[in-house]
Amino acid sequence: MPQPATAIEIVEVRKSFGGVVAVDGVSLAVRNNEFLALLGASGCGKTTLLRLMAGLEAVDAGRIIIAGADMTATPPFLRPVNLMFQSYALFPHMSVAENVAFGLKQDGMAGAELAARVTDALELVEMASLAKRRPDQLSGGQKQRVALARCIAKRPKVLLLDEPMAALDRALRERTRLELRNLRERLGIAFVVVTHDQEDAMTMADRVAVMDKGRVVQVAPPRELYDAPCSKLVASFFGESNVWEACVSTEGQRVDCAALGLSVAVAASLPAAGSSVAISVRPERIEFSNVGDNAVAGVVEDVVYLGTVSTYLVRAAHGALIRITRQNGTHPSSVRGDRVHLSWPASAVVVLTA
Amino acid sequence: MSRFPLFAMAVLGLGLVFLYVPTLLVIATSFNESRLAGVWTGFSLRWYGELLNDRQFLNATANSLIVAGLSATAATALGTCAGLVLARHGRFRGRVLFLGLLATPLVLPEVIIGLSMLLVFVAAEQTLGWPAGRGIGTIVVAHATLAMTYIAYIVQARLTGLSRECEEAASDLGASPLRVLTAITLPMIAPAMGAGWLLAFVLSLDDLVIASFTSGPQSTTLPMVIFSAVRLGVSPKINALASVLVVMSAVCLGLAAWLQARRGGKVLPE
Repeated sequence: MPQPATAIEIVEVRKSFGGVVAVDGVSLAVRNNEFLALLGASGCGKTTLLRLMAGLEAVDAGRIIIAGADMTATPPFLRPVNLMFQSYALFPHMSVAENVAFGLKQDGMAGAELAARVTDALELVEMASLAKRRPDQLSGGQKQRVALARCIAKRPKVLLLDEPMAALDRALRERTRLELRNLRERLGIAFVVVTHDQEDAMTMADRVAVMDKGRVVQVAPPRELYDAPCSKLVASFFGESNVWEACVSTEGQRVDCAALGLSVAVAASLPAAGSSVAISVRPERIEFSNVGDNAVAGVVEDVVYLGTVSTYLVRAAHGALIRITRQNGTHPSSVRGDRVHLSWPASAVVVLTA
Repeated sequence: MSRFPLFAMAVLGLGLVFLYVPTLLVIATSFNESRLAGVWTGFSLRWYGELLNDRQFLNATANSLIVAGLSATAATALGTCAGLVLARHGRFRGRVLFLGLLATPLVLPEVIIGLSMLLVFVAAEQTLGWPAGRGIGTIVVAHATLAMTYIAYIVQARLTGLSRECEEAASDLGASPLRVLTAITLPMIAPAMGAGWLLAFVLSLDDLVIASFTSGPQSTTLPMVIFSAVRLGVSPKINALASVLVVMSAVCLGLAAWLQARRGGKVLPE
């Protein structure tokens, strides 16, 4: 039988709770062996979408296809996907090993095979030595590992993770991100991770789906989302950015920006003259210089020192506040109150039409 | 400065004395050697010895324990079902009516419950031929009906406090709804069920009114024996009998409280 190319496919799925729309017509396909992040602010419907994939909520409309089979109406216990809960949801009356064994026992596995699979899963998350502990004797990080082992022991087609890092401290977060990536490579299954943290999404995911108000706004690899966001929301949610309103000029390849008091040169293709758009320029693409495609003068209002880089907030003559990030030590540093010139190339300007 | 002002302590003390001294007096006098309640002549287990030779007392104790055990078990089974439905099955049609009906035995006077039970049993005997006369069986049914209300509320409260995520996780891991119930939900609410069983046991053990209405000639329970004996005058033997009942109830309630407190703090969501 040929392996279908998508691990899980969602077609025009809708879900509302008592009149409040949580997921509003989402279509999304997760490829085999892909790491997809669902990124969005809280309340954007990303967790609901994950629960719909697991079958813990029923869709109002649309279809869910898992490994080539339509599973829209399949109950959760018959779907080949496993969900790791944000709270981990370990069974308090079972030991670590019993928690991991639970899912396998439901498939009728027993004896040596069961023991071997449980040990495998626990070794994968380095928890084999604590197999006899109860969940209330574990730290937050250890609980997370057990919850992960419990999901992967079943060898699902898709692993769903709901805010897996939310309860971890910063050092543990960074380690876990790398471990999740390695795990995905070793297991060769698709991962779908829900997160509100753009750093999680950027460091782990092959592709990121940005969600807002129950809709998927853009799906793209992290680099593409960063360099070519499709909307103001994506530009501001995914990394820092300077976003200004502008109007397409009658001169070619230029937009008029009132806040900057400048006709901005743009490299990207533009809509018809007179249409209103927004432009986005990443802080690290702006230089302290008066030579360039686009140049403005301003006064440094604030300097934030961040070690390797500093962030400067510059008030332009026409009122716009411009954020610039520069590596420390590469140029004479400016201080608050300095008059400076800023410039950026036409290629740094991203035109947002939505 | 004292954390407990004198006045508050005095009020508390008075309240406790009023509540517990009568009971303690009964227990104390049950060890009195004298036949007269007011005169202390020495410590003795004489009256307890007499109880052990009293066939009526032994029968009544056996009846009470059988009734309490059976009715508590039936009430736990039924009450757990009701609690599960209330806590886990959302807003089904008639939920409010169900809640109201479930609460009714809590507010109805016991005399009314006893009387209505008696009428039902008599009518059922005439039309269905069951129960053939009244006895242990009818008391068990009556007590279970009353006690299941308490258990339904205890189980519902416990389930409402428990996050559904463990049950969802079990379902996600491949457990059918029946397996989720037996492997996850019931073990997690077992302490509440145990506490409910003990409470139902005590309710049955201590009940006089409903038992009087629904019992037959061969099914006298302990409270009924005490009540009828007291009408002939208080004898020290009755004090011993009452003390036995108090101690049994206290042990059950203590166990129930321990069961509920033991895991309550840990299972609640953080």
